[in-house]
Amino acid sequence: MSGSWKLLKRESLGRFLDELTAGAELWVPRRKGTRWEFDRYEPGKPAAFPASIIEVSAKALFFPRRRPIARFSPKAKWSLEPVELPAAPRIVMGMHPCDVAGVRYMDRVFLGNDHPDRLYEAERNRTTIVGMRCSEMKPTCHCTDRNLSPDETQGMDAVFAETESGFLFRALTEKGERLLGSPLLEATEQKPEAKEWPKGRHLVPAPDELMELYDDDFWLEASDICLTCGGCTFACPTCTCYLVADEKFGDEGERVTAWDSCQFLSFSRETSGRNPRRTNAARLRNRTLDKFAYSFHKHGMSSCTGCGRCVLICPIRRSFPQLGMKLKERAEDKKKSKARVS
Amino acid sequence: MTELQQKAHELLDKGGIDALLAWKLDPAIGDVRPTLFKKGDDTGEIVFDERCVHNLANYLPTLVARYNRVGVVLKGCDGRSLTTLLIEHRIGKNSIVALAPACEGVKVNGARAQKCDDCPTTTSPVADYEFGARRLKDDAEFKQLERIEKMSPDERWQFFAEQFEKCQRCYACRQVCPLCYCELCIADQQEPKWIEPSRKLSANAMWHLVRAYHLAGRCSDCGECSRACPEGIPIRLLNIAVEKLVREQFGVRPGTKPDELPPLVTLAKDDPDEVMEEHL
Repeated sequence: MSGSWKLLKRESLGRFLDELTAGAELWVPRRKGTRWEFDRYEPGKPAAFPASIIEVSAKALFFPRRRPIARFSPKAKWSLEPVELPAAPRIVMGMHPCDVAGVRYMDRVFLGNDHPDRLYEAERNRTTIVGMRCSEMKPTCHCTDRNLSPDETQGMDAVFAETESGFLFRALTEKGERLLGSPLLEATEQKPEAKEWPKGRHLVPAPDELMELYDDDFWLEASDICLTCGGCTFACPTCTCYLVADEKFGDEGERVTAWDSCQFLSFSRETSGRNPRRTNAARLRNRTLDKFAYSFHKHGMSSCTGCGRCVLICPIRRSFPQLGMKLKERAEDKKKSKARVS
Repeated sequence: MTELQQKAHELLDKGGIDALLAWKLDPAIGDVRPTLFKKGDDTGEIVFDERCVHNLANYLPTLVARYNRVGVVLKGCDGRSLTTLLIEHRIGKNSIVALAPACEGVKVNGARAQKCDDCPTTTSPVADYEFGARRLKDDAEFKQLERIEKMSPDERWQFFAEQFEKCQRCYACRQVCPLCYCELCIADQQEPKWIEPSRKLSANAMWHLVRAYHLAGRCSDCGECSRACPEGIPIRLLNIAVEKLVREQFGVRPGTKPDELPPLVTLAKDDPDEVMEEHL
């Protein structure tokens, strides 16, 4: 389903948001220092919605960095008590298409199997996503190369766009419809301005072509300057690897999941001490192939949403699209040399 | 071509070195990035200006393992890191050719980097080829510390707790640091698990304080930890607080002299500390 567009006048924004908080926790973008991130809405504190990329992805709202999954204590003979699942209704407003695409991918990772992640499921079920159309693309944005666009609405419950006079809202699901009943929203003939976005480029070789490059020297060369910090993985809306640890404080303890990163040396260290990904090159290859090949094979969609957060966060401004382009050249060369041989 | 670009070309072309690490502009992002030049590459693309923030000494141990001899362009701070890497036998001088242009300071987020005001050597102390005049300055004021020093212990804890709270434990500070080179970092150690891996204040604080202690008397103040931190934690403040103490106690600015051992890993018979007298 999708409803018709409704107009919220600019001056009514604060009142509308206040109304929303009556029935749910409301999360909106907030500028902290030089970056935008999601924060709890405080009534009376004006909200603003950036035209493009919110630097800190909404990933942590669904899959927190540190997530207690069970508690233990000696009194209960150290037995594990699962934590209570969060159920309070929540609205996340202003997520852009690349961030929502991240949630769609996480749905496949955490829910698309026989052992769904109950905590993630609870976070998803309690959340209504009010997405926002981007009105511009930053130089690091490349969602159009990743089969998305700044107008994409998949995965959102409702969508809005900012216009000169205010905000145009449209419900996309029943959950979304329920939020848009306010009399502050008026029927309108207006539609968000249709913009021309750059045509998608096929920057990265197809998954199977990429796998052909598994043993290529490329990885060694490309990893020369990679620091193998976990910056890109933590900023990425689809990087979902985590570790599990038991943490004890005095007489109480928690079993937690915490974000882990394939860029860390310790990530792939096995119990025996062997580590199949000792080199920077092996770790860079793992992340690149995971984004562009393994994700296809495992979950049927690429896990790169083209948001460019990895580029923004990288201490050496490494550009993954550029890595993709170089891989493309390498794949073409390989094809040519194969053709010559056969 | 500048003298630096010319020399880089000559070294690569005539076979003095197998690869050269410098900065190159990437027009797609409008910024410079560390780049490895090989024979035949256009060294006219080498950039050396206020955008060259990255500490290239950090890459040298990995690169010398792959290439026989590596050329590297170093700012003053990068050169101090290299000095300490040489002193600690992390690499041998024979595998490095150091190109040392005089640095006018770098910019981070559009403003002059704070570390540049405290820089004791604007040209790398290790230099095979120098470009521009060498200037020395030995009286760092560490002005950024004043605000912290005025705080009471409680206020200080408050300040740093707020900062550590933000840490994601991505370890960019460790990876970007040329002197954080342990084969197995204490943060990655499983048994005993010194530092819990999840993101919470106690573990985060532990991580940052341990790192500051491990760098005591060694930190060359390249400021890369602060720059690389995605959360904007002013990690450098911890390091310069320690460096200020080291300078007061031992009169040492790490990395400025090629024959000066880091004071906290040195056993000196004339150490003024009474504890030492008992043991010698």
